[in-house]
Amino acid sequence: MLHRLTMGQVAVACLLFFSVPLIIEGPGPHVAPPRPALPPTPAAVAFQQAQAETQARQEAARRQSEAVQAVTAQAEDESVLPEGHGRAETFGSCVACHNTAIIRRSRFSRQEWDGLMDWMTDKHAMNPLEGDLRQTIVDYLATHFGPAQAPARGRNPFLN
Amino acid sequence: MTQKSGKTERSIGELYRDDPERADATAFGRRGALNGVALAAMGGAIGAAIPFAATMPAGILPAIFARPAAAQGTGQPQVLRMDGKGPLILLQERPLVAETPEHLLDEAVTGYANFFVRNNGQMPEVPAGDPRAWRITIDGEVNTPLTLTVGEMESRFPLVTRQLQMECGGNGRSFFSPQARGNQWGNGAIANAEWTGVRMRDVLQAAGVKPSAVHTGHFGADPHLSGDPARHSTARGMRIAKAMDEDTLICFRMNGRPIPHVHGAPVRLIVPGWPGSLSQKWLTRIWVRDRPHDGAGMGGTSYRMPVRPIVPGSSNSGADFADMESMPVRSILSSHAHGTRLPAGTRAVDLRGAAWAGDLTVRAVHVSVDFGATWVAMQLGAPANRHAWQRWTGRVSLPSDGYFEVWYRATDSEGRMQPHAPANWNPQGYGANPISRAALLVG
Repeated sequence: MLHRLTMGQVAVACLLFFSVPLIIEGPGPHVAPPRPALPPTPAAVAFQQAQAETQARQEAARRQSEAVQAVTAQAEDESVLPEGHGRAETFGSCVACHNTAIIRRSRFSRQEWDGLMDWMTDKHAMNPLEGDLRQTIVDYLATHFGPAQAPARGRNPFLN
Repeated sequence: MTQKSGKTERSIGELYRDDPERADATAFGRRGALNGVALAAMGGAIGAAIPFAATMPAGILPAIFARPAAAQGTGQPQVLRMDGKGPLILLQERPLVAETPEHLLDEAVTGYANFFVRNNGQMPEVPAGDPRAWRITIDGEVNTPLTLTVGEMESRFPLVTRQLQMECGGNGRSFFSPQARGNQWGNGAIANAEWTGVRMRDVLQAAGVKPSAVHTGHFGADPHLSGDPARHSTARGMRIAKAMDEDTLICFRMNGRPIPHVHGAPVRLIVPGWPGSLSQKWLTRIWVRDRPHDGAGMGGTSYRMPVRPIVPGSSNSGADFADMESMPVRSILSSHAHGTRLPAGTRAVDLRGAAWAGDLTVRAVHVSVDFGATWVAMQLGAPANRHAWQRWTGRVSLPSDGYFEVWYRATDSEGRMQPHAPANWNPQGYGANPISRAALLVG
């Protein structure tokens, strides 16, 4: 008949059998004998390592991100540009997307600066700049960031 | 260098840019051969005797005044102060752009501290959660569009580790005259790190590339500068043949560690030898196209070069230009910073640096210390693997104390040398690779 017992019945039987010593011992406080700590399984080690690595990566990424923020958030005010008519308009419009470093390193003719306004609209999603504001800004840039001086022997005759 | 000499640099630089011969006459009283009063004047301006004055060409600004980083802008070059990064040349804070001075590129494998920074958009947020769960989509002209996590890619495809040189398409832009628009790079928009990832071709083949596929389009998570979520900061692409190259990788690790955030964590492309903008950071999608990709940074004058030279300084729509692909041959000097002063009595200098040539290799590096009259062949190492840069070393002799210029010039495997002046001027300033000059002062 034993072979007809279900696994469930076997389990219940085992539970009863192994519970007996506990019942005999009574309800008093049971203090387990100190057991030597078992080493963690390889799977647990791998899991802990993976978690630690992920955390370390995220912390490193956060630190790098903060370092970048510290640089990119350096505030500029318009006094970084030379004084002149149109400075406020130029500063206000340009720093919406980029800081003034690239302006301060550029030397372009009025025509080139004017062309850049369209290029930034086409290529970099700048809101189109038209009318008086455009003229003010382009004039300011051409005045303060124009080519250093006219070529001594005349301009290139082939320049369009 | 003092503030005073900084001002001198700029005015002399402008003089030479506008009319070199007149500048020689004005600045140094020179007409024809450099001797007598003119030699004394130029020596006086430099602050030293010029032992090879006899071969110093007319109308060329001495390198000590000519190097772009010092000559550009209204003041001294700004230095990047960023935790973990070396003292790079800060070209722009927003978007963050920083160039590595050549003398900081002295490591065979470029570390994080000295890796140049180029951004087109804003820096994306650091993603929350496990970076291995970051997803990349491969779609378009493929049989089975795929969305794979970084973890899935790492376990599904063979991992490859290679040293790969990656260079900004605009490297050398500041050498162009008239000035071209964009960041005014010297030679330092180059890095040669060790990258680990999977081959793009393995991933594309897993998706099943259709015969109609001719081009890729790459997309990343960095927001557009304007903050407009509908725009991509940059989205470049390349011919499918380059995507299938064995060295074109989807990378997870740089120098054996997770990719630093500023360089595109957790996953980016490395497309060695072609303009760096193809090496999309914070990669989210590879769109396989049935026509040349038309994303941000494609078409017009963007990463495109004239097929027939145009008048320098002229405006052009770029309609007849061709996409810039393999980058031209270039060399750097890493053992001595431009403007290095050596002790009196120094008669030999051991030099070293690196050279590379896009998809090609470098055949030779030569150095001249007498303004190009004679050239000395340097010892050139083999690349660690295809598409890695090559290191060079060599010794030059100096006849006396005084002012010298180290001119360094690489020749690619097809025999093309770095030219004396940058050729094929274009509005956005790609492909300027002239012979470089570094000033040395002995005594």
